[in-house]
Amino acid sequence: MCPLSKAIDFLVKPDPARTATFFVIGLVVFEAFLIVGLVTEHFWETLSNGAMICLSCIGVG
Amino acid sequence: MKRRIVQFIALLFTNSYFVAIPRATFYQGALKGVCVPVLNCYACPLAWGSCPIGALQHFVIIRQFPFYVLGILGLVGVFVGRFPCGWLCPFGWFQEIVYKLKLPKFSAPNWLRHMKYVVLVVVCGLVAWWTYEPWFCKICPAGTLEGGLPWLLWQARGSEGAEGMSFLTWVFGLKVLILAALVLLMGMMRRPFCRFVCPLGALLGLTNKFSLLQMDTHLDDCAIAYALGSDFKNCASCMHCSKDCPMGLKVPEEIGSVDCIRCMNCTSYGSVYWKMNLGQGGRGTDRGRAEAAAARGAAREAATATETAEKPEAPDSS
Ligand code: SF4
Ligand code: SF4
Ligand code: SF4
Repeated sequence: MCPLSKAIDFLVKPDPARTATFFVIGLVVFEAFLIVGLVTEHFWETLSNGAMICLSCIGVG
Repeated sequence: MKRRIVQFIALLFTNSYFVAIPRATFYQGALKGVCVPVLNCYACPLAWGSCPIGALQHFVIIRQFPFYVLGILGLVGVFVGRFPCGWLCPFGWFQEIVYKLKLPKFSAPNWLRHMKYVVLVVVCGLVAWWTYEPWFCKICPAGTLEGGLPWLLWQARGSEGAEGMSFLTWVFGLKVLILAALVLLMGMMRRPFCRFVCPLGALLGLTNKFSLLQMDTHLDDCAIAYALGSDFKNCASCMHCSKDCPMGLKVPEEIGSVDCIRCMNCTSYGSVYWKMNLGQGGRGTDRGRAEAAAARGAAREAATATETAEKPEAPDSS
């Protein structure tokens, strides 16, 4: 098992209750991220307007 | 087979702007703002959503914390971990198909798996920050396959969107070279891009450890171990389940790893279950147990059939 895997295991896996606690924390944090992202950022404008093609993706720029 | 069907449907779903084909055009609606949790290039003319890694770099470049991208990926991850890699990602599926080519197969050293974190932090983070350019996109083979090559075709067909674009740049040459080298590698080893390079897999994998969907082993239930005569007591170390793992994991030891893509291939041996993690631990789901029992039955039948076939005929005493 890789060291990163072991490190997260050490934090999360000592008992099933702790794994479930991390799940709940993750759920709350990422939900908050999504809400903050949708409410405050220019995501919709930046991706929905302007150049619709990423020139780097297609290798032109 | 079930997984192939889901992968096929996911490919069609994420790239369902079919109007683009007859008109040589591409999707420009508001849905392009929605990140899909797989590496599906948003420059693909048929794609309606955006790639989270392209979007992540975009936020790094405009100096904003990527709340939205991490929110979407994190929410998917806390429920199912790296499941989208196993069942939904078109580029992951592409690698599995290429692996079926009759080329010499070999395995790669394990330490290469850490490279994807370097790609995530250095290429998608630091380099994008310093250069104001999405450098991962410039070298991304998924972008070449799903974006670059179709756009070259669109240009040849006289598409308005592709007018004036010059594909004779060193970036395009580099991208094609990388894709070609990787396709060769895909034919020789299992999912090399997912295991060693993909920053999206690296991000999603971190949630494997505490996601609702978990994988667990009960080696004493292994159908193969039973067939080999170890009578449900222990893993027989036959590595059958590991040979079936598209991520090249040693399944009995690494089932909980950040690299497991929840493809469920290994569950057919009876020694691995999926289960829902809500703190109760437990011995897998009823469905897992039923699957294990069925696998054991099939292994028992196979073992009996082999025994019967191999038993030498009794010498004729007459
Ligand atoms: S080039 Fe690759 S990383 Fe960039 S948006 Fe396309 S698929 Fe995503
Ligand atoms: S790790 Fe593989 S399957 Fe997962 S998102 Fe990346 S390319 Fe797709
Ligand atoms: S450990 Fe099992 S579920 Fe995970 S990737 Fe390998 S075969 Fe698939």
